Amino acid sequence: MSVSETEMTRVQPAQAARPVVWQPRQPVFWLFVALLAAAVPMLVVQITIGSKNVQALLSAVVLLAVQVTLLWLIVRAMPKLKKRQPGSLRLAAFLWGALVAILIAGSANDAAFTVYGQLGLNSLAASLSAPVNEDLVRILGVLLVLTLAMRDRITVMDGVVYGFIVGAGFEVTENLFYALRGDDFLGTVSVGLSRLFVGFGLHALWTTVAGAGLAYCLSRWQRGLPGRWWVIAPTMLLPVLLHAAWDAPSFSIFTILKLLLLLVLYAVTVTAFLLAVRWGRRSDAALLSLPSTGVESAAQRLD
Amino acid sequence: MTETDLHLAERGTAAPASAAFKRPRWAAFWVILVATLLMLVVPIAAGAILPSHPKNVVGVYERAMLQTSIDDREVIGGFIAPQGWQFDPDEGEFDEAADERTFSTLDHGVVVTASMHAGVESSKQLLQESAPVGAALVPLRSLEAAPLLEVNMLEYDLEAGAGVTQLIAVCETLRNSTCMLFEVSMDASRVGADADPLLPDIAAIVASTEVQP
Repeated sequence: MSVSETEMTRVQPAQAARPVVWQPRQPVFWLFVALLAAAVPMLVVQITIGSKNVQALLSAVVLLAVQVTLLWLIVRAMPKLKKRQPGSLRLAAFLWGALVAILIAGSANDAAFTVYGQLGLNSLAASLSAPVNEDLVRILGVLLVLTLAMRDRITVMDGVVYGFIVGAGFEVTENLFYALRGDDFLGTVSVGLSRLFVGFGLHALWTTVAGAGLAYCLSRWQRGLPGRWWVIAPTMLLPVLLHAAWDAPSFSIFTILKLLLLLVLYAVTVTAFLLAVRWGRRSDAALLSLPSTGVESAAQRLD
Repeated sequence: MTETDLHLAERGTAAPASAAFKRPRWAAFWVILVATLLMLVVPIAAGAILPSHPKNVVGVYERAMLQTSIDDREVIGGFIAPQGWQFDPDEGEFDEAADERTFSTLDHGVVVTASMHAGVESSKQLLQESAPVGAALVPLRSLEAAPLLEVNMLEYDLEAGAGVTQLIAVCETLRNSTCMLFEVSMDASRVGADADPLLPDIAAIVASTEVQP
């Protein structure tokens, strides 16, 4: 196919109406609305309680804006062979990560921490509970958004984009809470910057990988092919293991060794993310070559 | 699965009818709902059933940190505390560096006190200075050590039948000035005839010890 990627991006084939978040016939829509309605006031209360002073809150918000911008730029940079994911679904993905997932995971982590403490596993509690709860609740968000997106054909790239956005939303709110722990302006900035630069976008990168696997299976199932649901296992397991290793108690007292390990884990994470994006891009390209879709017709016209 | 299969996963049947695309997907709803509830309920239920872990008992893989200072410089050391042993919660959290930490078995048959020492001339000197006068001439034993560390031990029994004390110095070999000293007191019943001079838990502590130069 000789058509360039830029030209492909402009192609808006005549297909079924683009999916939007407003789908009252879908049970997951009402589940999303209910969880969101419960999450918003709880989060507002938590932020209000967590804000020690106006300066700290303002600096946290500024840092949050920087982070959102950087993450948004990454989403913008993702290849879009098929078409861009609908804005309302991207917003839903972000809200799930930023509001719903953070609260569910926070509650689940608290309960799990207590259990691990009872088992004498305090030092490993973060490493055992956070990856399971946080990665699971985020992939549930991707499942929810993909379910709403399935009014149209989905590809691996949908899982990549929605996964990244769910993870980005989660990370933004989590970092906001961390930043609010600072007692003053400097404390907040210090915490915020360290969260920004050490492991930037990890939650988003991890959820991208898991989202790609989930979207792959759903896209096959949507087309009447065997779902190959087993693919979900490795694509979820890798982020969970990376997350667990990131949260694990340090194996040494030497800072340089700790940083070296974090660097290796980050490199593996970024590699997995890039592979997921490549997978999504090829998935989009494969969809474009389908003879039965309007996308193909448009692409052929461009050829 | 071939690479082609992966990339062309989207190939399949013709596009489903629009109605099929829009039908309610209850499976996704139930998966999300049930998984969310399980995530919240299971740990709460498990927490209600499980007994509490005593606050003064060391858990799994807990690193005890120690520190001292030399020439206005802080030096730190650490080791993995013996799981299942008792400690004094008043000494603070393990990851907060302290001057000294003490652990004992539940029956108090073995007591280990760890401390950091900086500006040490040699491990031999540290051991001999830390031992009672009567044990000063006891020969040192060199034990297996990790790279950049040396481990020496001095064992004495000054009171017949009262048990044995082991002084173990783990020293870094880069500057040869910082050591972690373990004083292990054990009652007579613990003294075995094994070839290994250290109790397994003590050997694990020593093996996990790190000392900053």
